[in-house]
Amino acid sequence: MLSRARLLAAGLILRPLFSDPARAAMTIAGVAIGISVVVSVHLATRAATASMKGSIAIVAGRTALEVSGGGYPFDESVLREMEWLRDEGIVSPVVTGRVRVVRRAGAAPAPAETLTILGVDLLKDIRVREYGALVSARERKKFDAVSFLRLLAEPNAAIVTEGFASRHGLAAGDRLPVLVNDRARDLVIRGVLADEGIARAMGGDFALMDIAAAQDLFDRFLLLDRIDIALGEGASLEAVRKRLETTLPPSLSVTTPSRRGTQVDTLLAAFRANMTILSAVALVVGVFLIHNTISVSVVRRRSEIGTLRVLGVGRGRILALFLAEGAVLGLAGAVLGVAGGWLLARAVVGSVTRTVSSFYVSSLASTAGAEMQMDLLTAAGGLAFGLIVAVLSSVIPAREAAGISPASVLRAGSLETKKKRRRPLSVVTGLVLLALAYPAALAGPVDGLPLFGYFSAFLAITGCAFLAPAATALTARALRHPLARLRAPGVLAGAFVRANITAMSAAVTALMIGVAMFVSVAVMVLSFRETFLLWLSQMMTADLVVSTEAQGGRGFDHTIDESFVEDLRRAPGVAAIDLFRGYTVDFRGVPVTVGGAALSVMGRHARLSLLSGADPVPVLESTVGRDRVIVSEPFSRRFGVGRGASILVPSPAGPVAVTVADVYRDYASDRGSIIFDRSTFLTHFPDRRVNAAGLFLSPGADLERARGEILERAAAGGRRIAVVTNAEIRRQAVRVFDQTFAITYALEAIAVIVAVLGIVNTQIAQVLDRRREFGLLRFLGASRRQVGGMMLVEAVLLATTGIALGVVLGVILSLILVFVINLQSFGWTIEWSVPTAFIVQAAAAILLATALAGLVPAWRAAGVRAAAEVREE
Amino acid sequence: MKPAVAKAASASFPASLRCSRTGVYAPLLKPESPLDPPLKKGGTGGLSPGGTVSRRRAWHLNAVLVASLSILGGVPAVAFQFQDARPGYAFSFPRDHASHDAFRTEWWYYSGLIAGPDGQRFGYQLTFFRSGVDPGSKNPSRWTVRHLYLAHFAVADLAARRHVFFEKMNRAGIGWAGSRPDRLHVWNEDWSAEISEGIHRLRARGGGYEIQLDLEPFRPPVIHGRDGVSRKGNGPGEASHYVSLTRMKTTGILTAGGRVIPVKGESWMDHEFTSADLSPNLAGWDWLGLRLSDGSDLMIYRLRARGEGSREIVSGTLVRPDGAARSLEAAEIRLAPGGTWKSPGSGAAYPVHWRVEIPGERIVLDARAVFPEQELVTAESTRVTYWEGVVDVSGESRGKVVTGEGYLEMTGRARPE
Repeated sequence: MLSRARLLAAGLILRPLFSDPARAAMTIAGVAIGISVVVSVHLATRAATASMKGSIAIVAGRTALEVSGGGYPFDESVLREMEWLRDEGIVSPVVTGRVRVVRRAGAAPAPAETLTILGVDLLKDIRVREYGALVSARERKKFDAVSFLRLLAEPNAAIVTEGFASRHGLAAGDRLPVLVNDRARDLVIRGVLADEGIARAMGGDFALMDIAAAQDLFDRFLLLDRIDIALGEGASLEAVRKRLETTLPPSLSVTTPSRRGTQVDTLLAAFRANMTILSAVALVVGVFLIHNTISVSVVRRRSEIGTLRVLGVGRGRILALFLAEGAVLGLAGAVLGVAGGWLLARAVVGSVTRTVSSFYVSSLASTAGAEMQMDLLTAAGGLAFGLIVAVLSSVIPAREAAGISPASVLRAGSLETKKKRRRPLSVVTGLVLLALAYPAALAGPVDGLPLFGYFSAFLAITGCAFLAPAATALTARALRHPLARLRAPGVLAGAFVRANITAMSAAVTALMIGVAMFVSVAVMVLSFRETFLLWLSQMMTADLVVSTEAQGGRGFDHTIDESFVEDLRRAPGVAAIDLFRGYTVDFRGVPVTVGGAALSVMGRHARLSLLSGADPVPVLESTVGRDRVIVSEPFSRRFGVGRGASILVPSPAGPVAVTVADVYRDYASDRGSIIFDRSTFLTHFPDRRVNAAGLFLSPGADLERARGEILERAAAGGRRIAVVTNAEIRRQAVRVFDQTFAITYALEAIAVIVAVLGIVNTQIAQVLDRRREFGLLRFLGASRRQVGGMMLVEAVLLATTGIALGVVLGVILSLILVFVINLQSFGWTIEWSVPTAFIVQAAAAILLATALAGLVPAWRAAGVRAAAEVREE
Repeated sequence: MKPAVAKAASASFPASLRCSRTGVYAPLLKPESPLDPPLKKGGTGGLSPGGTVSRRRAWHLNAVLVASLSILGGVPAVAFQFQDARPGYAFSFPRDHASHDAFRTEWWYYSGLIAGPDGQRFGYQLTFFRSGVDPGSKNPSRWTVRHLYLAHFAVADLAARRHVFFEKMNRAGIGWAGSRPDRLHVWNEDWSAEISEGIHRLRARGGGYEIQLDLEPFRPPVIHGRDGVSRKGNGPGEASHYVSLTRMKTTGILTAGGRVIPVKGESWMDHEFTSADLSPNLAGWDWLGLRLSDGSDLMIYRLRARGEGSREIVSGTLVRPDGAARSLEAAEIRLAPGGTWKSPGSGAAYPVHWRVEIPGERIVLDARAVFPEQELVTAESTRVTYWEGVVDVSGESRGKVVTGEGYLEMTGRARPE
């Protein structure tokens, strides 16, 4: 019994797979690509999260509780209130910040890097964190606190990690030029920490300094960023926490380091969910490829199946056989996919980690060099996923196969007749699903995730998939007349497609989905781009922007003295100045930006776009000298805080109650922002230094002269600042924007390519299946060209249908992306617009690609010789 | 006191402190100190056969001082010029009990024997060290290590033969440690010594032990050496200013193992300040501070020589019952260490029975450790292991039978790997 089953499987399933390796390979590749994208996204995002959490854990060391100012440095004298803690554990004050590493002349080229400085009192801290040995070319030695202290007593002395030292070609005694705030400083490398313990944090991009030197480096005298507390044995965490909370000023918070790890999880949950769902799209194409392959397989072997049934093979066995074929394809694809996913993840983990840390959690931990780990669960999960998807995709064709009656051996085309009868039902189903997509799109987010948005997209895709067969038939019918002009090949192709919808429509559906993905993402990204550019031109009106050379990117790590920028008011040609200072602070457990800007200047010189549609000038004027703020749209959406609401903003002196004057559009960041007018800001945030200054020149002023003057003044004061023009900023912003979305295009382009291959795949199967037909045609006098032409027309017909459906579905999906998924994920309102020209071009390109690829089966069909086939007949 | 508290306090610097009054000398025993900075290029230096010292070695020794009192003496960028101990220094009290920040190294060293109402005897030692690092630093941060402050606290329960030891090390920071230059007030976290109305008030605690003692000197300060300087080597500046209060009436409270015991007894204070770099050919140091029943006090120290061709330095001071002090030359002192006890912890051999003879004064004394297990063995990272403990004395002075008590200190006898 068993051997008979094996024989059947080998004869019916495996042999055809081997006999048509191109088709099998394509199907397997389709599944493999889908699985590898899913697996790699899972691995890469997980590795990024793990590395960030790992860094937090390593840096935390034995810290049980940490006291922080919620994002602001705080007065170090608060340590005097904590002397009772001596009986409970160790109290270690921390000054920390980031500097920018400057490439040294003659040194090995290394990218401009950010180096996190950990400034501690080693006498205390050596028992809080795990410090490894110091290494040199000659030896490695485990050091103690005093030895570290001796090395670090010199001003600017720093100990770097082994990884950092080797990346930068540094050894003890070398100088390391860095930029910090608006100054250039030289750190002196006094030691190199072995790659163990704390040196593993942040991918090694961190340096140890004495707390006094760190205060000097960051100009943060009398201030601390954090106090880490390690508890002795038997000390009660809760009791200590309670006593700290009751004795410390309300502006300070007491938390556990693990909370920051949890925060990483929370922040990345949306990112991971979106990435995972996007990656699953790649698998949808695989589903249709398998469906297609099995369908073709069933159609091709109809007579064999009929014969088997005549010989007494049960329906169940036939069903199992075709499910097995799907499973074999799925498993093969999944094996390759898991391996490919691992390789792909290794390639992208660096960029994923950087994206994640710069966009989401730069305030929590900076990280590099995430460690990738493939675990059994992921591998098994990938395999199981591929297998399940493959088997499920095979169910419908396998059931068709099982439904073949023994008598059908005698009658060709019976399956198609049955299908045709069912078509109205599938059209109704499709329309109902499409209709349901609309209410689904109206539902709100679940846990901050646009789950219903994705469900709506799923309904739309499935709905269109049900409509695909009817649409294919309709297209063939509608194009009857143009096809007739192509004479025999056109007429025959149209007739064949209409008569074999089942075999054809799977390929059409696959192409439709690929095109739809591509179109929807294109519509979304280009709409976003247009919205962004308009917003940028309204917001970014300063002629020159002065910031620190050190900053280089996002964040508020580096500052310029207020006196310097204030003096620029008197620079020639300067009409007005907008000063900006921001902090990254905890708001309801989430990092947000709290900033101060000259809002009245912005009112006069920029066109802030307010969500309420109100005139921005009076709104901005109303914030001057008052506890009124404007908040960004992502902030408003994330926290459900709108115009007129009252919120408590953390400040160095404790929470400040403010009123939201209005919500402004902000596409620069999906992190929420709370912006004060500088006048009010300075009363709550007394540090007068600024992160950036926007200069508005008087009409007719010479831009380059003004820039030269500012740079000259900076150089005279030994300041390292950057002055960029409006045009440069815009160019830079657009470049960043385009870079950010480049990968999205790449992902969707893969889907289109796979789908195009699906059409070709179907056609190649057709060539094998219809040898008799081609032979007969040749016998009846058709030329090679006419037979090949027929196949090509078929391919183009299918592609046209798929593309047309795909564009429609893509536009529908783009609406869901723009107004549901994007809005709920990031909180951005995007002006939806369809880039018609782009879509037309893309559609034409896909059609052309299909036609070109269709030459292969066409060539093969044309090669069928009349005599051989007809003899068989 | 909660166990947790005791645990946390006893965990204070389990291994990293390497001070003793004379720990300065102990590191010299280690040719390859772990403190040898691994990052400097070039050789390790080392003692050349003739006992002379290369420049590199001198730096090395300087770094070794990290292990003792000139904790950060080897930092190249520190330009501060510390003041040398020079002859002719005029002491003035109470000012000279306070801190002398212009000198690199300074310590206040209290030791004494106290007893409870039932006669149970305890020895205690409380020492505060100041090590000048970079007093002239221009960094305005409060965390700038201008001085490093260290402290030791030990209690010996003589009946139970139990010896416990605690240590602290801090920078001044926001006031965690310090020493005032205007009057005696030196502290390290919640340990402190402070003069108020002529009485030295001591506070220290750790691991379930605590002292709150008031010390009232009833003899004038004794200035050791000649012309205000006590020689610690043969070169210029190889000396210290060294003053003792040899007899201080002591009352207060000792907490030991949960028992709060009112105690009485006598204490000795040493206060010494210097900027000396050590002569490299000294191997270690032995010190005795004894109070005799005839009312006289005797302090003797010996800097042991290392290798051929170097001389040991022996010196002392005898304080007569009337308080008059006489400096003792090396030739007047005969020391005979004996009764070797080999420490199971460090492997060091300590003579815990000393015969001291001052023939010119007709003094012959036997000073015996009350129990030998008074070694301070710190963990592997510590460069100094030393013995510091209570001795009982018997013998003759000017023909009369005397008894006595005091402290004995021996450094530089352990050779840890």
